[in-house]
Amino acid sequence: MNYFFFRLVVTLNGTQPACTECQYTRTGTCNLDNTGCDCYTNYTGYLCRQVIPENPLQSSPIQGQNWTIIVAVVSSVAGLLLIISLVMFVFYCISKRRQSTTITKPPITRPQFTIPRAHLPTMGTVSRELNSWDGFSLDNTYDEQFVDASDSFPSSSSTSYNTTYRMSGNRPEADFGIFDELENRTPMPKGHIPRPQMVDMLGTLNSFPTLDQFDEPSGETSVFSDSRDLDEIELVTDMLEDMTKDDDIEDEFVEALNPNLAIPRLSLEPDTQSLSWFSVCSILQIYIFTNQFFLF
Amino acid sequence: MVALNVPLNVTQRIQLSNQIFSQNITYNDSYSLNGLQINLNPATPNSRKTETASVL
Repeated sequence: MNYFFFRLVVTLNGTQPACTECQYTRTGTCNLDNTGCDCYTNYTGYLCRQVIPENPLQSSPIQGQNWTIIVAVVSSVAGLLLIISLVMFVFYCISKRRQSTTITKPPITRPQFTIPRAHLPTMGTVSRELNSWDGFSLDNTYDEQFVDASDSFPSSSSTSYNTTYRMSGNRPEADFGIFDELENRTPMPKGHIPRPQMVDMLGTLNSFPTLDQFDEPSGETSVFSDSRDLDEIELVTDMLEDMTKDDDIEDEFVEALNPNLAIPRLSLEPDTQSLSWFSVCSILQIYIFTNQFFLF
Repeated sequence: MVALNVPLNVTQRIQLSNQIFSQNITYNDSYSLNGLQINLNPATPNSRKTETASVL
């Protein structure tokens, strides 16, 4: 009868009553006289063509439960936040009231620091009454009310600074000859240091305590009492003095003269202008290193 | 077998079968209408273009 497995194929031999519609649509069955249909549940109307709408909550109880759960969670969180905020506000009010009642803070007094008025020193030889206002001089007549006694100079004090500039009176002419002399002086040859200057410097270096002064106060002879070391120092000093005659001696030569020395060098070669100063510093370091070497 | 390319629901298919039987529609006089096979499955979508009705 059925030619197709998945189809409801019926063989009709004649006209069919209208109630067969509800049978084929499975919404009801034909009544006894085939005038109508006895509808199944949720179907009604003529030939059971109308579907009774189901209750949405009953049809999807899980969805309704989800809505109730969401509403409950949100309301609980909101209520919790509200409670926390209220509690914090209450505690804040209580703490503030306690502070206002128990603790009476003294008024904050900040020390005021005042900068003392600068007082220009005056010439001791010029009396204060002679300082007349001439339009170009600094008048400190009324400074007494501002000047602290600690930093004020007495009138009898004489300073080397003349703070009063006077346009009138006998003004000694400024002698700028020294600048001209400095400008006209022939520049020093590069790499050479004036001998008197170097002799003075070496004299200063030689004035350092000698080895004899390192002896112990108890009279015991120290390790520095060796006369040979003293001679070596004098030898080095003389050698350095000889080197000052011509400062173009290379550092390697100095180190070759005394293998115990190591002249510190910069990584970059110094320019010719600073070569003389570098040489002087090297000599000083040589002497100091020599002393240290002998001290050890 | 006659293929109808008409989308019909169950009610329309029943009406169609009734009209075929009432009017005794045959191809010519050599044929007689004894039965009609038609798919009355309500699950068949109405948009289905091809419905098969075989005339026995």
